[in-house]
Amino acid sequence: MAKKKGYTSTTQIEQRFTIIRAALAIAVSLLFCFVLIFISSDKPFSDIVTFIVAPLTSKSRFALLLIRMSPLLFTSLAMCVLFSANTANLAVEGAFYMAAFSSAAISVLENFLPAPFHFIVACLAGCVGAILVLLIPAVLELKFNANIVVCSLMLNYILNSLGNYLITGPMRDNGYSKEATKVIAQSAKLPIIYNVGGQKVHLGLIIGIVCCVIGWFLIYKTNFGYEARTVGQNPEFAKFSGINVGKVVVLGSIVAAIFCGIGATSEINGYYRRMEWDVPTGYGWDGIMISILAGNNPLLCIPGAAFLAYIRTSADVLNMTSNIPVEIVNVVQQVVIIMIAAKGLLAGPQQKAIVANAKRNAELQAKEAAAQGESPSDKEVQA
Amino acid sequence: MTNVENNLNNDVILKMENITKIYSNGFIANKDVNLELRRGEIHGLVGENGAGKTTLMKVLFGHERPEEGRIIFEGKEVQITDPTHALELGIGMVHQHFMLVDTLSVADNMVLGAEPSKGIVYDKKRAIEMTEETAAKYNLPVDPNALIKDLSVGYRQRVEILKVLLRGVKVLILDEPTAVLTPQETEELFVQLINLKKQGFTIVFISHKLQEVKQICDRITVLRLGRVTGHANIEDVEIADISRMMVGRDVDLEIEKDKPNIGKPVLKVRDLEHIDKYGVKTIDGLSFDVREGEILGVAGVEGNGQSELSDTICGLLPLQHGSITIDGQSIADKGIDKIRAMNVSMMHEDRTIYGASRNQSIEENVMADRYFNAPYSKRGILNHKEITEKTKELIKDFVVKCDGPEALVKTLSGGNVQKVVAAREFSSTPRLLVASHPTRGIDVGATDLIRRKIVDLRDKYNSAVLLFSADLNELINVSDSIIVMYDGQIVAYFPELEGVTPSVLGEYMLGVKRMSDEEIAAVMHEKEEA
Repeated sequence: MAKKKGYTSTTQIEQRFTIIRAALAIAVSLLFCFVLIFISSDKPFSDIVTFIVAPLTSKSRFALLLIRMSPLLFTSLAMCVLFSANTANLAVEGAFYMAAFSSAAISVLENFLPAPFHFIVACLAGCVGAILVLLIPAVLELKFNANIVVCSLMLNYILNSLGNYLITGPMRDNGYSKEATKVIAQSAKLPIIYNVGGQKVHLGLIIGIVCCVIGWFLIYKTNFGYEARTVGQNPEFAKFSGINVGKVVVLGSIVAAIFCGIGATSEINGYYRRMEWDVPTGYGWDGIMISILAGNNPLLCIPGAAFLAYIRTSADVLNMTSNIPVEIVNVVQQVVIIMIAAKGLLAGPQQKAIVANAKRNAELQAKEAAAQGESPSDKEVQA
Repeated sequence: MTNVENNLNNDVILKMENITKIYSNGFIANKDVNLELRRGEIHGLVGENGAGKTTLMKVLFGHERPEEGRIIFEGKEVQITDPTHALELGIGMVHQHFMLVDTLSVADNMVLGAEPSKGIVYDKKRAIEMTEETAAKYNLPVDPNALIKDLSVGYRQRVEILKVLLRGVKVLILDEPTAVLTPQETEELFVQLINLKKQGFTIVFISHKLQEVKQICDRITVLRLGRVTGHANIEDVEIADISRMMVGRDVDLEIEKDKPNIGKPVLKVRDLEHIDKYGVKTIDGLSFDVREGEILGVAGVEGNGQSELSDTICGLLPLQHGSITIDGQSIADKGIDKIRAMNVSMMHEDRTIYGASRNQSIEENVMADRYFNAPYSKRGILNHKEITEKTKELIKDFVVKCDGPEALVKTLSGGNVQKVVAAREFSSTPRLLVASHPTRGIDVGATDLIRRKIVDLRDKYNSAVLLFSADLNELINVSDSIIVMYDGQIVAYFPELEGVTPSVLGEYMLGVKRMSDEEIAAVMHEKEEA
């Protein structure tokens, strides 16, 4: 009884509405943005136009977009892995921050290893830092049944202070005017792949895209991904089927941490001269928004990250050319999250579509049954 | 004739016309349903599980909005938007699962949602008075200060009924009220209901227990697959007629099966004990064997240790005391994955939680116990082609009605969900199948298929089957031998089922009779040989 001609399944309708919902969320949030620009700007029309097209108006602005995009790929990917297993481990923010420190500890070593290997070892160090962070809430939940959301949120505050201590204390380069580590060794730097008007796009972008593809493969094509998604959808079912739920949660956190580690190392060693984050970057929170928008599909994180980077770049341009502050982006971001999180959004039209479809299918069935000379209800009983 | 009809029509308090309700998974729960309730009657709403009885009443109580149809209450068309509105109109519902707050007192629960107050302070004294007044008025005595958590199920139900009466309802809906009651409590409830009927209340009695319907109802409406298949005065119909209306044909679910070809024991349980988290000994010294090619049925009133027994064998509960071996290997300290690896298949009684994953596809559900094995997976990477092929084969073999292997399980009806579960558990050709209530709450067609497949496992693969069921006819028909559990112990063992009837089992299930220890010990076959 595979797909029959003329029938639409409920699943198809639901998928359709998932896409419509994401599009609507973006559209509404942009609309909000336009209204705000309209209210606060002294030249609203040209500002709105700037907001829409700014990143495409010059090569350097486009390059800026790409630079902004690359860290978002990693954090959103990490969130996809965690959310797939329904692990609300929100310490990705802190993990990304800590990974930058642990990898920088290696990256600043001069004459450590030749070119690609120095970066790789720095990445490994970054991964170790991120793994240690993400495992804390996961293990607390598994061992002590602590609420993972609360633990991970609180952990972020602790890590914020820890980072602050490291960069003002033990890891600080005292010969430098700002709070920062020593200079990243040349052998640990990532190559620049596109350099225009001083905006240097580094290899991290490509690494991020490759990681997203790997992440997609991992979630949808491997045993681990199947286990994670099953645990995410119904942990009791997973357990009863023989899947080790604890193992999956721990493994998921480790995989997410690895992406954080690679991401943070790429960002620092690609874009910065020194590791100079005295506060967490906020990329972890951005990652949450993007992965929600992408429905936990790592491939969709690529356009998702591009979207956020795009409006960030627009807002930056606006900030320079008008009286609109960059914070306008936060409005877009929050509205998107609210719209996507609102599960009831479009529930009415979706229900109507499903109802109409169910009726149509029932009629089709009745017709087919009539052709075969039996009533639909009898058919159901015998099925 | 017409006169009488007119008279009766004047007495109609509520009419539901052409109600159609389609759920968000596309399932048509009610289709053009008509229902007419009269003042001062007990109206039976009868149908199999999943026939749409509860949905129809949820529509009436404002829990669900119908896609089509109208409701006429006391001559006026009404749009019932939510339960509060229904209560204001005078329609109240007592749910199957009670909606009471365990830690509050009877009086607190009674007034919940319409609390009396002095200024902004909750007036507890008034709440107690109101409870006492209502209890006295309807002759349903309760202690207003007792805490709900200390009360028996029958008592709680009385509180639920009183709570609805307190709100001044005229129509009282009872959703399967006897499902949770003992026979004595049921009798008591019926006395109360007839009393209420005499006082002019209209009562909707939802049930699939036809004896009870025949005993207490005045008129009935029968539903099947979301459609009305008949209205009748109760004196005009026999139980057999109602059952035909319910299932659409004469109920004949007898399965023809050959004599079993019984081999050596597969599952051996010895001196099993289990103490639950409340310190209650739920299993008290169980010993039995299930042999190759044998279906051993387990009878018993729910809550006599059956759930704990099946959960312990499956590894959901730890093995506390005693031993369980499968083909000689102990399951002590083994996780569910290890037990499954011993070629054990499991159907949990709660299929919506343990049996299937609603938001995943049929494919993903079917593969849950084998995704890690070749050819479905190689070096940790899934082979989707093989998985889809196998799923298609199973869908065909188990006659699952669906849109294809990618269809989400939540879009299937209850019977088809259970077929998906059975397809997974039966297709691994198990040494041992532990099946808990495999046909509970599913339609006749699926029931028949699953029973046949269980017998197939026995005949084709010589599997040992431990079958738990509350349906005694199913047990007697499908099993080769039966044990009866009472209070965590085996109280009877029937090696042959010739002449065994539900009433015979019933006496043991209620603890009235008990076989001799030797007769019971005969279920340990290994001992005999030794």
